[in-house]
Amino acid sequence: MTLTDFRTLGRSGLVVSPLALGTMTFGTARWGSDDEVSQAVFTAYVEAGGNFIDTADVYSGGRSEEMLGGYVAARKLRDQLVLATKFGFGAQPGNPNAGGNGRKQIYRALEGSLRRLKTDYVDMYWLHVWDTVTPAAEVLQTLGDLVRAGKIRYFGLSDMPAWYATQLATLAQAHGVPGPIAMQLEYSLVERTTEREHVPAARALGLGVVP
Amino acid sequence: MAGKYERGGPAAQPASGEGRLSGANPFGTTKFTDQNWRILEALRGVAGQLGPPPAQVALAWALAQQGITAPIIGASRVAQVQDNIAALGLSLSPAHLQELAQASAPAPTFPYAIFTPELNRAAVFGGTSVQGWQ
Repeated sequence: MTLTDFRTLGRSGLVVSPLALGTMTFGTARWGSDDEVSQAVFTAYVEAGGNFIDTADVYSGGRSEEMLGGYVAARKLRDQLVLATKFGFGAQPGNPNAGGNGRKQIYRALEGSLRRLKTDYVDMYWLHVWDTVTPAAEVLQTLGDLVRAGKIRYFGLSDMPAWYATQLATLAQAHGVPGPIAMQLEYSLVERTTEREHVPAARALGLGVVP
Repeated sequence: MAGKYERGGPAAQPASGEGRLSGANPFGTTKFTDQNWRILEALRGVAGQLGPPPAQVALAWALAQQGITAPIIGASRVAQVQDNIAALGLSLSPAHLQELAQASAPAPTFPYAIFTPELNRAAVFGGTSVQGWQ
């Protein structure tokens, strides 16, 4: 198998490589890489045929998105790449509406991500972390509105209980509206507890799993 | 699993190495457990037999699991990207997959330990075996 043996992300029409490039290292001082190395990492992945790149608004305080947006624009690759970013972790001390999963925060976070990524849409928008309080229906309505507005193409959930993902996906199915297409979870030889609830829920609901 | 860490003492410095887990990070030192060092040992054993770096074998294991679409690789060097991409060409044998699965199996917790073919047969379906949809 190679990076161009593409597959759909969950039960959707979004086509991705079987390995995604994470960019949490981009611009991270201690354990990551500087601009030159980050660009070389990006280039190596893209030249090997990869199309699925993952970042988040909080990575390096926004610097990861800026660097990625610059590399994509410089090589004119926006149409070919599936760009994924995330909202949810707090961005401003003292401001509860600059973090979490509420409608006000999601709109704020997305505007910042689009600006830093130098694009007018995100292909895959992830809820980065469950905030424990926002109702599933509000998240679903907000993200569905962003799909209809053309600001995002698809969405998914990261670091959340399986029941919460199940609630969103089931509501979406029942109402015939855009629903989540994937879960992003820690999953490896040293973290297999997501096999109990999350992976079976993903299978039952047609969600892909991106570990 | 990228070979960045070696087992150290039991207390404040449970491991030595240069990586994200060596300093401030969201996991603290929680990844340096006895269980995880045992998993690493099994991983190094399989990698040693096959030749590729342990991280590549760990990625090949994840790729082989049902329901997994696209693992996210994180690289701070170009060589790591290439090593990781090579995992797509690494197909682990059923015996090696089984060995890694056994070494990494999470401890059983309620109620998941109940949902086994053996218990289903003996205690639910009157001693017969039932094949479900899928």
